[in-house]
Amino acid sequence: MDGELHAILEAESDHPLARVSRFTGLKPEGYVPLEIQAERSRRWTTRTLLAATLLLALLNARSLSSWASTLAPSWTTVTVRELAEVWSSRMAAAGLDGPRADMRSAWQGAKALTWRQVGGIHITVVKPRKR
Amino acid sequence: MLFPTMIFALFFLVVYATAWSLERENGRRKLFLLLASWLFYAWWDWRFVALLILSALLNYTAAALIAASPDARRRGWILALGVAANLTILGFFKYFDFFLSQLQAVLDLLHWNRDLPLLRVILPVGISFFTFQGISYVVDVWRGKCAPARSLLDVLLLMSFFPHLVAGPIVRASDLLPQFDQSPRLDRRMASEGFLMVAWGLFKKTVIASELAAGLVDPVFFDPASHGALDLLAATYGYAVQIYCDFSAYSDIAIGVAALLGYRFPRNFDQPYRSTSLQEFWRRWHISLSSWLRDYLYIPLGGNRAGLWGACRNMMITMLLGGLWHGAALKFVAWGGLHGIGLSAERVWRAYKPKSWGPWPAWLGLIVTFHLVCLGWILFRADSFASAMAVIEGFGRLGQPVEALTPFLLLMTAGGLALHFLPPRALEAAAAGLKRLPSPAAGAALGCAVLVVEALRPEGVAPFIYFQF
Repeated sequence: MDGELHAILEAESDHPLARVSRFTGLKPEGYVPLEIQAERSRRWTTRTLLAATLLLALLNARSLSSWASTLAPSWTTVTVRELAEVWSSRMAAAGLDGPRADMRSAWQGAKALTWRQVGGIHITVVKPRKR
Repeated sequence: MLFPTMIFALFFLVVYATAWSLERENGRRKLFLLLASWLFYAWWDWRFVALLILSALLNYTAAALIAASPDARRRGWILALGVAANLTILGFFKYFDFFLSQLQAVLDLLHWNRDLPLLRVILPVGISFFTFQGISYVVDVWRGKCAPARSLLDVLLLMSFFPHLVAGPIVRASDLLPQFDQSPRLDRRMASEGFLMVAWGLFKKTVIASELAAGLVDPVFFDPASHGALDLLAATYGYAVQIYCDFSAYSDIAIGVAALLGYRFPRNFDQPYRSTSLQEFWRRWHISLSSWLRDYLYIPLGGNRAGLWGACRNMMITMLLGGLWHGAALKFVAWGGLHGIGLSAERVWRAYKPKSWGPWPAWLGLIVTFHLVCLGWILFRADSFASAMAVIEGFGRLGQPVEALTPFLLLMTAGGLALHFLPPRALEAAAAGLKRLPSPAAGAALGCAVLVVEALRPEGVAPFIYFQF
């Protein structure tokens, strides 16, 4: 790693720490070359993306099966659809679709609110009595 | 391929993985991104990929000839030909039928009946954006503000790069070409901003814009005559929020996706409805278009150098052409004209206002500006000029009960407007927090944000409003 670090330091010869390092011959402890910083950032980004994808695959499997059901039928898409449906039903059986379903149902409830309900007036429907 | 769809998510994951695996081979990386961009475009209609290539070839050749020519006069001619060729392509696809139908109407008025050859030309998605980008490249090379591209590949990628291809932002060659010269580097801050911009864009488009469109704006504007003043007013405010959330969402997702691939795009929206004048509005709304119109139309026309009335004339021409750029219809020309008149009136007011009168209070400027912009949005959204007039007439029907507006839609509209009063760089501040998290926690936070969007969004997704331009 040291060899690689020093090779990069050579390439980034304008960096002040690189200049100090050349002048003093000391190993630059606090300096992380841009190349290595970029490599770390890329790894962090990829892991973040993978973690988000995994979480969504678990908690949002319903979207996957909804999307698969819209594909035009072919050998591949039917296979994808069946896999997505099995995955979605397994996640639902494990209760992992709960958060999404709860949020959706609360949202649908908010959408259905009327001015009367917001104003505190409750309307009850009374069935007519049979004679 | 639309951004907020599963197919785009899968496409992006493949592009992300492949592009970064080619990090050390910039040429191959760019070639891969170009092929991916063509696939993205071909998903809509593969035939128009050829148009994209033709347009890039045209601009590459024009810029190379300008750079190689020592004679200023010759350079001017090449520039004129290059710009004219770009405008011919745009004019044919976008305005041919419009001008022919207007001509037909004039001939009919003169009782000179002729069947003109209307071609029912299909409008290629994003043609207005990539044509403007091509023009800016050629003009910038001619002005010496930008060096000609090192290779045809760079120009092809500049014009075809999928995040900005179909609805902007209009990224200038001077911004993007230098980024193509070497393999991009990603840092955590850029990646965090990219993630948040994508998630925020998804929320604005699929939750706020979609709900307002389906529940309020579309039904009211479809039949304005059967709605009362309150519904019409709510639909007008609703559309102001819808178009902001729709278009700024596209820009946010484009900027975020480009950032995750290592490229920086300029900001395209900056809380436009908190503007206290129309001039300020155009500095905050669709910034890449308004700055394009300023640099390549208003200033070449003479800009402010022509005195007060000359500047007003130039402003009117710029805004009328800006309106026509949005679409070949009288309503867009009227929308541009309204903004041109408003901007000119502000200029005249500033010049002739008695010195003893202080400046307007900011809140008054904000309210007046917002309502002028909303008046423009009526023209923009209505199916025709006559339909826009029907909406405006309907503001007089005060007694009619509210039918379309529900408490939920009122909350959506108010929430969409309230976004403009968040701290101006709230997203960047949130990104600074996200980047400090370890990757599993950051991924969980991002996943939860997208899960909320997925839970709230309606089934299916309508195309972005600006696709039609």
